[in-house]
This record gives sequence, structure tokens and C-alpha cells, in this order.
Amino acid sequence: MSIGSGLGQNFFIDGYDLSGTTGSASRISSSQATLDKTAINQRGMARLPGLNDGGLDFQSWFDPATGFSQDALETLPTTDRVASWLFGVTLGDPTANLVAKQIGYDPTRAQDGSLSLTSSLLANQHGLDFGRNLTADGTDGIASQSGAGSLTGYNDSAAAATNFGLSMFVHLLSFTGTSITVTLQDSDDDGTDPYATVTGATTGALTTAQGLRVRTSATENVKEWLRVTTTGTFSAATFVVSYVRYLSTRWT
Amino acid sequence: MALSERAVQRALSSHASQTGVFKRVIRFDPKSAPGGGLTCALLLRTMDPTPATGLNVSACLLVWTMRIMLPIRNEPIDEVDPVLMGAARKLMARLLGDLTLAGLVRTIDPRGQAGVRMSCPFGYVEIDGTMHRIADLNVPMIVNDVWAEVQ
Repeated sequence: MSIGSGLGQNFFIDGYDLSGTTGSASRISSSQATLDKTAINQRGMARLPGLNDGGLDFQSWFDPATGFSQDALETLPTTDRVASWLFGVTLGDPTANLVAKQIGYDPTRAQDGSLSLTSSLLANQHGLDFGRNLTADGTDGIASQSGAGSLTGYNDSAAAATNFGLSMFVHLLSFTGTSITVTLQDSDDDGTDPYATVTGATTGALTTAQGLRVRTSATENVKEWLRVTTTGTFSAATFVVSYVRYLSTRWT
Repeated sequence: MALSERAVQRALSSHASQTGVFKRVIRFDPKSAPGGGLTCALLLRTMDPTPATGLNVSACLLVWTMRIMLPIRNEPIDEVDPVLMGAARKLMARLLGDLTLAGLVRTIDPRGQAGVRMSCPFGYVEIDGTMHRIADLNVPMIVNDVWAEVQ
């Protein structure tokens, strides 16, 4: 048994690092609706799985500096936002990820003088995915590179390769250079079997800070070990990568 | 925002000096009677992490006591409390007119955002055989991002 706490976590939206200005999350939800299919000859409720959904409600502290809460949240875009919540900073620690519409950015000025802001993210077309972090280094969950290269591999205890593809959630936080491409590679054993690109698990060339979700095909084979590899021409880049290995067609 | 301990202390003592009412401003707890006239002694009471912070950093709640002191034998004796009240009022005005101490802190916290409000209880303290009437102006302040939190 190793019960953990909620200290030392991180939160990213569309390439903004809001870890230092987010005070709390009141809801990190991955849900599944149910369909009532109870027949008249049944004594208990009978249900079938329905649509999945997700959401994240959080409270921020007012920070007007560039790159922080006001800057990241005030525009209330109509387009989707990509959000990732990191529950730890060790390689492979759990993450919660979703593609969502931002619902509101509401300040509360309390009598004690504090100024906090509440926001909600509601998942769009796909529920919240719990995944694993691939860029953590024990300090802050963020990879920092001065040139292209590969990070340490991770095995999520998959007993064998799976055949339902994966999603990767990437937040490019800062970047100096021409372009950077973030790719996932897999291997049977992080040793004898060389790492090779997971087909479809690549961001393409990125040139500005942003967040994005990349999904492979729903039948893509994914081996036990995964790692992040970057290519491109750049002198500095900081980024966060989470992945979700799908175990059935249910969630793809 | 790192915590600059000496800069914060100097900023508070500077505000006390600039009220123009104190004969002396000292940055320690006096062990001998400070002498006649108004004295302001600056003491740190607590230094605590506060919940008013981010996910992976701790902000710091500092509570300072700015002790305003006057020997009780000061004449006329019925002017002792009004003199202390006036000094506390002027000192509060200076502090509330510079809530961030020129950028050193997130805010001086008069209303208790972090759980401790500004207050100014009155009382007595005997130092070195001399009884003093005191007004302890408690000044809470919040400093951003003092400690990183890592599991």
C-alpha cells in the first residue's frame, strides 16, 4: 500500500503551464452513461454502457503576467482546448487528459480580498483519458531539450503488445528554433528490440507553443515499451507528453 | 518571487521610520528598556506555507509584529492610548498604501486571505523594570512561490 497525496502536481492547457497559478480542481471526471434496458421480468435494473464523457473543473489564482492564468483562460475560445493534469513527476506517473470546450472564466473577489477564478472544461466527442507521463524526470514532469533526441523509455506493465492504438497528448511549452516534431517509438524490451516509430504517433513539425492530441489508428499495434523522440532543428524546447494505451475498441 | 528576508524587514522598518512619530525603530525584541518616547520594534511571529498557492509550489505566510511602545509614566498619562492609536493609524496607512512592499510580496493581507487578519491588540509589557504600554500591530503578508513541492 502506498497512498499518495495531491501535492506536487502539474496542469497544462494548450501549451500553457498553469501549475503555479492553479489552486485546486473540484472535478476531474471520466464518466460513462448507462442505458436502461430493464425488462418486465427482471427484478433488478439492467443497464448497457452508453456514451462516455469527461470534464475538469478548476480554480485559479488571478495572475495577469504573460503565460499564466489570465493570459491562458480569458479568451474563452470556441475551438477545442487540450488539457493535461499530471498526478506526479516520476516517469510513468498517471495523467488525466482531455480535448474539451472551455466553459466560462469566472472571477470571484471575496471579502477577504482574494481574487480567484473558476473554469470548466467539458469533453468534446471523446471522454477524459487517464494515461501516463513520458517526459517526467522526477522534478517537474517537463522535458527540456537543446536539440533533437530520445527520452527514457517506459513500460506500463503491459504483459504483451496491444492492438487498439494509442493517443498522445503533447504540450509544447516553449520553443526556439525552426521546428520540432514529437514522436512516440515502441520496443518489445527497451534493449534487444530496437525502438521504432508507432505509426501515426507523431505531431508533425511544430513551430509555436501549443497543445494537441494525436491518435493512431484503432488497430495499431503498440509494444510494451514506449519513449518520446524529437526531431527537427531547435536550440531549446520544453514540452510534456502523456500517452493513453487503448485496451479495447470501446474508448477509441 | 523569491523571499528576500532582509529586504522585507528593511521595507517594514522604513515605513515605520517614515511615519515621523517614532523616536527609534529597532529590528529586534528589546532586552533592555528602549527609553522615552515612542519606539517601534519589528519582530517576526510566524512563517508558514499557505493554501493560497499553486499545485506544485508553496506560497509563504509571514506574520510580523510591529510593536509600538511607550513607557506608561509618559505624561500626561491619559494621552498614552491616543498617542499609541495615532502611531498605529499612521503606520497602518503607510502599509496599506504599499500592499506589495514595492514588489517584494504578493500582498500585505489586512483581511485574512490566508487565514490571519491584520490586528492591533493593546497591552502592557515590562522590560528591565520599566512598564510599557504597547500596541502590537500584527502584519500578515503573502509571498509567492517560496518553496517548490516535489513528491
